[in-house]
Amino acid sequence: MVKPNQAAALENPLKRFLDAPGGISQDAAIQRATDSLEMIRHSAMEEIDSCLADIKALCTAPNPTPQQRQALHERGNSLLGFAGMYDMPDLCTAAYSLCELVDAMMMHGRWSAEAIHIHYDAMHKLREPHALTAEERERLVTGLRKVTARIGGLPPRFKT
Amino acid sequence: MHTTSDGATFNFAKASVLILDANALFLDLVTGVLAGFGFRRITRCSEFEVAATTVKARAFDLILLDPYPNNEAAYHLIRDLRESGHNVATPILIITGHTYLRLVADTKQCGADFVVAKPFSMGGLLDRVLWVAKLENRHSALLAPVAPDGRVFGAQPW
Repeated sequence: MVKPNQAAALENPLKRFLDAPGGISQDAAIQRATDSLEMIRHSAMEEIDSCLADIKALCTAPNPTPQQRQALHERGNSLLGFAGMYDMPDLCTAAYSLCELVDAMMMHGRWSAEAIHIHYDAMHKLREPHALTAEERERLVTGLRKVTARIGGLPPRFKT
Repeated sequence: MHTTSDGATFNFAKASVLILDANALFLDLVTGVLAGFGFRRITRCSEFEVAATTVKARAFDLILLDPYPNNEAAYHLIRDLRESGHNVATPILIITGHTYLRLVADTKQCGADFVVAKPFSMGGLLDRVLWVAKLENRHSALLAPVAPDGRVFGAQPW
């Protein structure tokens, strides 16, 4: 049997702030959060460019160290977050594909520098999404998905 | 004016929240978003060890963790928090970008209330915060039982 003090300890502590006096509406909260997001837009764009520059530098290594592979995943992971938060869904998808690719290749113990390069080239183009048509962006993203499915899904005997 | 589904408002000004994100700028981003939601007592951590020490020492009303890059250690921390201490019933949201395939099951089953994918919309994150705030009697579902082979299985929603 749960004792009263134990029951109190298991109460959801966040619940008491719902309907608390002086509160705000959901719409007001979303608007304030959106305004806050805009305040760091410039820094976020710089972070996106920094991620791309790091990925470019890392993908020149034909046989990167485990640390470099981890760093590629980390930079891709950061890139997908910021690109997605700031209305660059195709760049976000491309960065996610890069992460999937790196993850799969690390898991299977193989590496394709070419597949990484293809991702970098596409992400570099998608950095300025308005320079491309919707069809061009879709074609790039679809191509990356195919690369990741093909390279990431290769059986271990193709280890490089 | 749009309000929560039951017409209510919320006031998180006195709610304490801890955020962990290894990316300093994303930590700023999440901090700003939560401040927009009305949170004022925000503890920011970019280092996992600092976050782990802090949540073991103090009670919070909400915890937002991006486990990357300390993934396994972060999942162990959440399991520990659910077992005992100040934050056994504290809502915990995992906020994650790409999750390594080998860690997907652990991410789902470590005892967090929900996993929020990056990128998220402002409305999506707020909906999730309000959703976890309303949850009751969920503790047994959050405790992740350990199978004989060491795998952890849980029942929390994905």
